[in-house]
Amino acid sequence: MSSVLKWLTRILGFISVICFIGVIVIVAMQILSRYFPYSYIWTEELTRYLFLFGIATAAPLALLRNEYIAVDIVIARFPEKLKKVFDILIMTSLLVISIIMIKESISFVQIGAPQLSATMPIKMGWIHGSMLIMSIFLAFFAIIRLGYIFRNKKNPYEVEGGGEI
Amino acid sequence: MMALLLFISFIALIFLGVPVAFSLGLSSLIYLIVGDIPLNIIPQKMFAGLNSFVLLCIPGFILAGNLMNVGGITDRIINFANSILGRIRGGLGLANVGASMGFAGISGTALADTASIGAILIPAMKKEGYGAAFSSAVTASSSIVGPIIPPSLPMIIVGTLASLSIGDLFMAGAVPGILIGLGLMIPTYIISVKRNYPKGEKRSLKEIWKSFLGAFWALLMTIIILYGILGGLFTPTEASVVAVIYAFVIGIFVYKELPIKKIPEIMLSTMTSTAAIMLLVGFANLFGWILVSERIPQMVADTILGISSNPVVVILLIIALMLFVGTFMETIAGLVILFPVLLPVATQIGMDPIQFGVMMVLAMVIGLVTPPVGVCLFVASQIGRVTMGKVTLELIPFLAVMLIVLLLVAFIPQVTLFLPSLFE
Repeated sequence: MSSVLKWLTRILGFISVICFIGVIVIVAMQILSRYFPYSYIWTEELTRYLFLFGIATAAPLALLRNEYIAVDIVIARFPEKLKKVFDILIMTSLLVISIIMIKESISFVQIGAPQLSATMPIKMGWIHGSMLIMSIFLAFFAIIRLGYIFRNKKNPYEVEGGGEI
Repeated sequence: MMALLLFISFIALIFLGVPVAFSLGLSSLIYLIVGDIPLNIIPQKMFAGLNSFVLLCIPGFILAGNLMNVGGITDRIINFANSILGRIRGGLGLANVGASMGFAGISGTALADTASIGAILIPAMKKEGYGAAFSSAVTASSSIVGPIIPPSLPMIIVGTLASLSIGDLFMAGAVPGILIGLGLMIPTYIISVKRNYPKGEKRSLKEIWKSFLGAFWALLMTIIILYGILGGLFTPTEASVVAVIYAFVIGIFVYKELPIKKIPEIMLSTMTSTAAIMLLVGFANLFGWILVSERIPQMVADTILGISSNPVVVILLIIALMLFVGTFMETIAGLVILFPVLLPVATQIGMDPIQFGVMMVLAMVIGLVTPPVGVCLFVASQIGRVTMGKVTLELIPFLAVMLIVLLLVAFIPQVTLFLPSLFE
């Protein structure tokens, strides 16, 4: 299981970084195109969509890495056992909203299915799919983190800081 | 009544330790379920919030800052600041503030500043005989110029929320940022003289010139970003990509210190940090939609203007509210919830949105160095190995400086609006 998880995080991370590189390259092209006779109308739209997929794959990883800022001044003072109960409740609530988002994202994909993107031959359903991908993996990593809490195991993916600016 | 449910559930979730982004999502979800509103609005509003070309500059500026940092720029900025300010009593403390101002020009955040400069200068200051709490206090307080001096992540968020020009907001932050930096040097100097903290050796002009050349490329990046955006050469998003390419080229070819092998991991952590912010923005878009449909902004405006229609009182009330919220709420979250709500109040008393944006950002980032949850205070105390309580005591004169600049921003429009007006 842990090796499957490792590969999954690598794949999501890879997709996210590739989307980010894509954004950088296309925006650079967009800037350069002003100094050349040809210009591209699709650059702005494509970068937005790449960014969406970059975020959709990175947001679940941020959950696994515990990068979402929380105010823990209250529960930090609780005794260990009560703290564990709260951690379980928090992660369960994240799981619930992720599952609801999966269900609603499916209908969101269906809404977009017949629409065509403004400047490219892509159906918007595919683009709306970014929300579905994000919700599925948010739910999955919430389950993984619940597993760590129940087994009293330290989350090996956790990073210090991050997220807060 | 329904709006009350939204707020109470949101605040309760935050204090129960639910991440801020999900507190926004869950409280909105509760509102939608109780109000029997179709839930398909959730992905729609999130998608609309994330599908923005302007927000794309967030990962760009974060990555450019990270690349410059691992590429060896921090040492050079510190060295340059020290070569100029080191000779004065309390020189290393003053160099700490000066370095933060230089670092702010490549970074849009405060925490990166505290962590990078603090890691080098807090141990160095302690070694020279400065108090640990004082060293941490100088580091934490000076780092708040990071999101005030351009580029600035909170300004990007504010600009996106209210469709304001990011270039104008960046420029409007420059003078207040420099004022805070110079202002913080005053208590640093006075306290250093009083406690007889050391001064460094005088450097020759040749040495200063050499250290300037080292830091030059970082300073040039700030100028390229600002000139590019304000001169109409590129959009903020394009500027962020130019900054990335620039940082990459400088790190590889000029400083030759950028570790290529680490770049994928740096890019990934840039994306996860960005995603954590973006999920917040996405859920905040849903939350904001509910606020508007409940007419909360107008209600808040009426309530505040009902207390007093005197602009001075109104501004002071808003500042008090923002400072209070800033003490326990994360900067971006506070801005996404409160900026759209309070903007109508500001415009009704005739305040310029750009000036108001800078005021809000400044009031919120002061919370980064105040207890109980100021992250910069926390990180600086950790590096200095001293309790947050002791650092807080040392922070008082520095906080006074910040509040004075905040009041200048709030009541003298030229402090923020003069520079942007030059480019119109």
